[in-house]
Amino acid sequence: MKRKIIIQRGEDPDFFMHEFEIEGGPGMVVLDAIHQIQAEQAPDLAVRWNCKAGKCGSCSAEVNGMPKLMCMARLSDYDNGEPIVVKPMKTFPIIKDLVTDVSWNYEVNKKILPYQHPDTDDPRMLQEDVDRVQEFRKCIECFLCQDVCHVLRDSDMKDEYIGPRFLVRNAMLEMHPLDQGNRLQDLKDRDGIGLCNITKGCTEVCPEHITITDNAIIPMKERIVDEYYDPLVWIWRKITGKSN
Amino acid sequence: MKEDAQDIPPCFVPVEKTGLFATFRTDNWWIQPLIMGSILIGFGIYTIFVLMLEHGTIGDHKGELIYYEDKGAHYISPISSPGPNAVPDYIKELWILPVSLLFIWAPLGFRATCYYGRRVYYRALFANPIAVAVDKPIKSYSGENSFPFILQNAHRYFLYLAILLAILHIYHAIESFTFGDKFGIGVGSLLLTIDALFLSLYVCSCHSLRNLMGGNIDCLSCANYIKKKGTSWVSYLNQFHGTYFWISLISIMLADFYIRIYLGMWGNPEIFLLEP
Repeated sequence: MKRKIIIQRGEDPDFFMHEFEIEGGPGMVVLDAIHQIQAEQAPDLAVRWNCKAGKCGSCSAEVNGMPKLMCMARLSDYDNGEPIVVKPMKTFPIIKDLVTDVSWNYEVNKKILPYQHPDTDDPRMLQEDVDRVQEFRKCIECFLCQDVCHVLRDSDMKDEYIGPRFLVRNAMLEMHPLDQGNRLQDLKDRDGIGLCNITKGCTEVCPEHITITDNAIIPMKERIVDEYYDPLVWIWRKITGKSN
Repeated sequence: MKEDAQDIPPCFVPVEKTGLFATFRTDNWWIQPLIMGSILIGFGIYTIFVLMLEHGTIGDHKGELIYYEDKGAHYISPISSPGPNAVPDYIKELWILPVSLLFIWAPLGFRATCYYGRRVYYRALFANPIAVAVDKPIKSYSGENSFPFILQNAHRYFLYLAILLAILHIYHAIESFTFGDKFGIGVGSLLLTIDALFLSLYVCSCHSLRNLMGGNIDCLSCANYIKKKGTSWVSYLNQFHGTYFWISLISIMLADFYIRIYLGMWGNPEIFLLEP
């Protein structure tokens, strides 16, 4: 069956939309279509990919406007009569065609205080503590959550906000039962957690189905309320001498 | 075989979409914010209407229609709960606005600062953003770092009040099954019970409650039994927090409409009494 695929191509500032017709087959995904185009019609078409199994997070793009992994987007999910429009992620600078420069994310990652091991000979943690942070380790760093976050995408506040991916990483470290670090001050003042307004777009597009907002961002926001905004918690800690 | 823009035939799809809510999405992304916004606005209009009714600005029912006690029933319009009977006379004399306003700010504040509620109104009412990958009309943004949105951090204080309110609604629901000295079931009893049930579930699934129960502890296995079990239950319910938000919002409106408007103004209660 013939399918029309329209791809945004070019390098900054010369972008254009390029229409292709391909022979679609059963089980075919958008990345297969891109490869077919690359093989038969446009060998200079740039696309980043690796595993074709939804696990490497390389082939992130926007398919008919929705941020997706191209290797997980089946052609059969889209109406036969309609063309499929494939664009690079909007939030990041385009290198060429569908390939974006996501290096900003790696720079952000370097700023986060890494795991701080306790000063003990016999560190142990129980499964029930591991379970809570295990979800966050499913992240494949496809950066679709970063792409879709309106604070980065529309308001372009990359200097003030680290984005959902790195709020998840902070949550993973903060909830770690053995970690000795404290990242709440950074989250509040440097990383801009207050800029997240919980519209849950990141959760909606996560290909690993991580409950980013409910299980990572909101618990971090609540811990910041504990630490900086709740006078009763402050008084309680003063009286009991307890901290987290 | 290298191609550039000059060699490519023109395409009917532009590189960028412009205009309000520009997007390349082809699905019906606007349906969800439209429905959610309509229900929220409907609730807002109904609440203002009942307050004006109570104040006497509309109709001639000033201070009435809050309690319904015909045929031995003990119904209360839940939006006004606990109602004027809970307010000392000297305050009522000084207070020139509807008495319900003395209470209604607490549940409204709880919903306005609710993490799920924020998702709903930031999307449906403020279009910030209206949907995933749809351009927002106003790009400048300060999030919840400055007034008034920094007040969202007071959510847990509204939670404390909402817990009291949920207990009160459970009391109203139990009371609604008594008709004089008899036990019975009326449509009002059922509606007040549904309201109390889903309000309680909504409160018990709150993100702040989850944090206070034990979500703020790194080593959950080190916590006491109550904290461990409490965190586990609230975390389970928390998955359905959005569902409870909507059902409790609609059920309180339905129960209030039945008691205040249908029974208070027009109807007769359908009551099935159980003889002792």
